[in-house]
Amino acid sequence: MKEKLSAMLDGEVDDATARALFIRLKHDKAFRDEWDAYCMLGDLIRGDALPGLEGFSERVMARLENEPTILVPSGRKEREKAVHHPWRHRLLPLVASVMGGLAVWGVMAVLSNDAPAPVVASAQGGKTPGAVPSAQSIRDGARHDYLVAHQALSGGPIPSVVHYVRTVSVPSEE
Amino acid sequence: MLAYTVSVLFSIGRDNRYQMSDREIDQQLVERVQSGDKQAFGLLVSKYQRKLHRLLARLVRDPAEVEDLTQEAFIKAYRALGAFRGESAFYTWLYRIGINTAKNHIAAQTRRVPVLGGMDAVEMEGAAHLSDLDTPERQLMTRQIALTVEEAMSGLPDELREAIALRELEGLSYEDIANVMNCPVGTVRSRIFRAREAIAARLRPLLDTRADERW
Repeated sequence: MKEKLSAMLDGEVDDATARALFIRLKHDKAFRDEWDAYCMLGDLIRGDALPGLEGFSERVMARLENEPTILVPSGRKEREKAVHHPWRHRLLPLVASVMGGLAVWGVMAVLSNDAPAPVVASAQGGKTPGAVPSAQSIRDGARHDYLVAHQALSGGPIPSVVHYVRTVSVPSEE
Repeated sequence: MLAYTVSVLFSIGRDNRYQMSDREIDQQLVERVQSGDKQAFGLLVSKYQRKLHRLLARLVRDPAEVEDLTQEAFIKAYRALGAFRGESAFYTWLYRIGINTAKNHIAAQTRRVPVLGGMDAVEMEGAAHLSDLDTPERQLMTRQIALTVEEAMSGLPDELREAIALRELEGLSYEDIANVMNCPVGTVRSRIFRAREAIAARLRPLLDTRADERW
């Protein structure tokens, strides 16, 4: 366990190990002393330690006794964690590249679709293949007035009357 | 794109054993403090007290003031920790608080310290050597401890000395050290731990003579 503590000081443990070590550090004074010793050794080796800090952390912790305990709402921490989660940063390029690939594929598929347009007005007897029935022929009918009068009410997606939408699309009369 | 996708998936798969960085360890400690664990803040104090103390000692001459300011900086950091969101590393945030604390102290005393102008925490860290903080007794003690550390390092087996030096002096990761030393990462971890234990054993008598005093 001390070897793992030493590794944690160097940022060389995984998340689960770190959590286990934190729990032990919270409850085990001797273990915290080991942490202190490893911190001190590194500073001594690097020459970062100056005299005059004997018992420093104990004094700071004694002062903290008078300080209120910090309690950040867990919801905020979770949101911030989600924003800063390293997995999300790794997944984003993957998701973006997949979405981009699908978009390109979709556009290419649409552009390369050279199938003929469906023949709609075969009832016209071969006059004009693919032509929509003329507006005039409908306008003459009695139902035309009815349909035009009720055009505003025909917005519902009713499959059985969908073909009427095209037949009542009267061009504006100028 | 397929190759990229595979590489990303591979890296995600590796993350099941994701090694936390030093900064992430600090962030975990911060989050524990934010959840009400004051002891976790003590671990951060242990880790950064000497670095912050040394930094402030470059700015303020009086040793007694330096310790007070270092302590003050940690208390301020604790009070502000609820708002710390991890956008910067904890230690740069802490150093910034320390420098501002020192600046305010100097301003209050209406003194001017030219070296402060426009320097950030990182520049301060690499700035000029400490001036005249040490008293003769402190200098003697410093030399004694430095000598003991040096002797302890020299007395280590080569592989332990090399591992601890690459880590503490060069700041290499375990993976980089493993590459340099041509050994598995687990061996590096073990060597560094054994080196620390050996040096601590040499230092203990010296530090124990100072009756519970810790550096």
